[in-house]
Amino acid sequence: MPVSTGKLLGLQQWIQANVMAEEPPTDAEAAARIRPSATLTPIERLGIYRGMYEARLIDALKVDYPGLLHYLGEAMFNELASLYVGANPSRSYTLNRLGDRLPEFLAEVDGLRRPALVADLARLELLETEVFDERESSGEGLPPLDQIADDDWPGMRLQPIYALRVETFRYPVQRYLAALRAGETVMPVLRARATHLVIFRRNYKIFHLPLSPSGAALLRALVAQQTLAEAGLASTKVIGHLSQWLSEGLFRSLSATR
Amino acid sequence: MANRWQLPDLGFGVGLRTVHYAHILANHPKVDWFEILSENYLDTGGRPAYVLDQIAERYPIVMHGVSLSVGSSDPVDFAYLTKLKELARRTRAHWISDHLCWTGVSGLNTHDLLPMPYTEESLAHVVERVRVISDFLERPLFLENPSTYLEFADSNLRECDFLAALCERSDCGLLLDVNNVYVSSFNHGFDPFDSIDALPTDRTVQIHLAGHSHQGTHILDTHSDVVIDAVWKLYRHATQRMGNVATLLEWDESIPSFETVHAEALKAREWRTAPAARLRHAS
Repeated sequence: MPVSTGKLLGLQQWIQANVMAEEPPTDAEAAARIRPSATLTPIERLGIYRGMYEARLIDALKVDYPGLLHYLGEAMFNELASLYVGANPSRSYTLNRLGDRLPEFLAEVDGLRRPALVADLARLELLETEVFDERESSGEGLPPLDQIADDDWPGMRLQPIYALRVETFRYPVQRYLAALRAGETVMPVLRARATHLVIFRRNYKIFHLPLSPSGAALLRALVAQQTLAEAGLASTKVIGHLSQWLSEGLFRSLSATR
Repeated sequence: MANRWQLPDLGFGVGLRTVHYAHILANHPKVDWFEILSENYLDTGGRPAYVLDQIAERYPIVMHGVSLSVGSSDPVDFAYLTKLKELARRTRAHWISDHLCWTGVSGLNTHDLLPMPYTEESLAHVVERVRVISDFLERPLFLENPSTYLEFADSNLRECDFLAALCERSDCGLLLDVNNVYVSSFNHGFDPFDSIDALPTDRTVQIHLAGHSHQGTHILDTHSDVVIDAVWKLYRHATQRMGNVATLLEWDESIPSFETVHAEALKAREWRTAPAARLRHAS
């Protein structure tokens, strides 16, 4: 496998370190490795790459976190994103997962106003990116509930669609994203309230469906492949939940074991 | 003049961009072909994959990547190559290209097309990696000359000579970005026509065209505007030398309507087929 260990490796390590570093190298260090042009010094030429590096990564985060960008404002977002990118440089060939650790990073930032809300908003947007890229599946082939024999119900397992996540938030942050996407000029004031959501994709669009605490527990149990009996089929509420979720297309298949 | 792989002149294509998905699916514009950014489709089973499948049913597809990092000192990423190969199979891609550059080292990725030092050491390194990658992909690899903003003190080969030697020794081909030749020629002070003349004529399967951003002291390859006449003249020079080559317009910033981008791409036909009249107009 062709791996360089010679001069090329040393030069690439130096360039990369100085493209990513907060402070530039000295003029002499740059001049030892980079030629001047007719109009730019070596350090100025390196500076073109230094400027583009952070801007590119922050732009990628803005694409994945538009709600967070709106909530924090451009200046604060840029400041936090710069800190994040410095602490979490990309190790992947794709920028799509650059922001995977942003919610936990935000939760630890000192001095951030309403850190729980900010982290929740980021977590919802992160889950949306996961749901966006999941493979496609649908429940079009599922039989209607009334065609399922009574004896089959307790041992039934439902397989969720791939593009589905169940999550609990400390703030109803989905309201903020909904208002932003609707183009509202006055954004909702969010107060702390435990909020259970299923985030899912149908026909390549992403939806949020609020869940009651018992509904969230039930759906988590089903996603974890418990049978309907194990998940609490006895309750009449369960049938109501199931009907709604099936109509929303949250499941792709079911299997029965008596 | 055919290339040595007998790969077709696909005509005049456009880079597929998300903002144009709805227009393309609704109107099925008469475009010769599309180039996709490979990394946008490697890890998704969502809408991008759905749209790509629809478009690949109707149009020839070519894959263009930014993450191969062919010049890196790190090991070749075979997991990435495996995904690339599968995408090529799914889209029936005519060819796969990336850039003569490196994007990171020591496990990190800057996501930039960083320049290579043009030395014998780095040439030998890239030749070996191209061979490994081509073998794995089971097809020739095509590399684009990038826009660069710095030159290394150690470089003792011209970029065009490095590319020509790389092609010869590794049996790879070229994606000639005429705008990049122009940008780099300004940034480094070389003659862009001489540079094109040094490249092998039978190894270029595709040409890129784009607009750029002139900063006074240097030019940035921003793909943010129409192609300037100086670049069109270079394009005409290249096609006179290399024959008709599949030509693609890239537009990545401040992207206008699909019709505007396509119309800009179709200007290439005029420059290719009516060069004298066009030159008089341009001058």
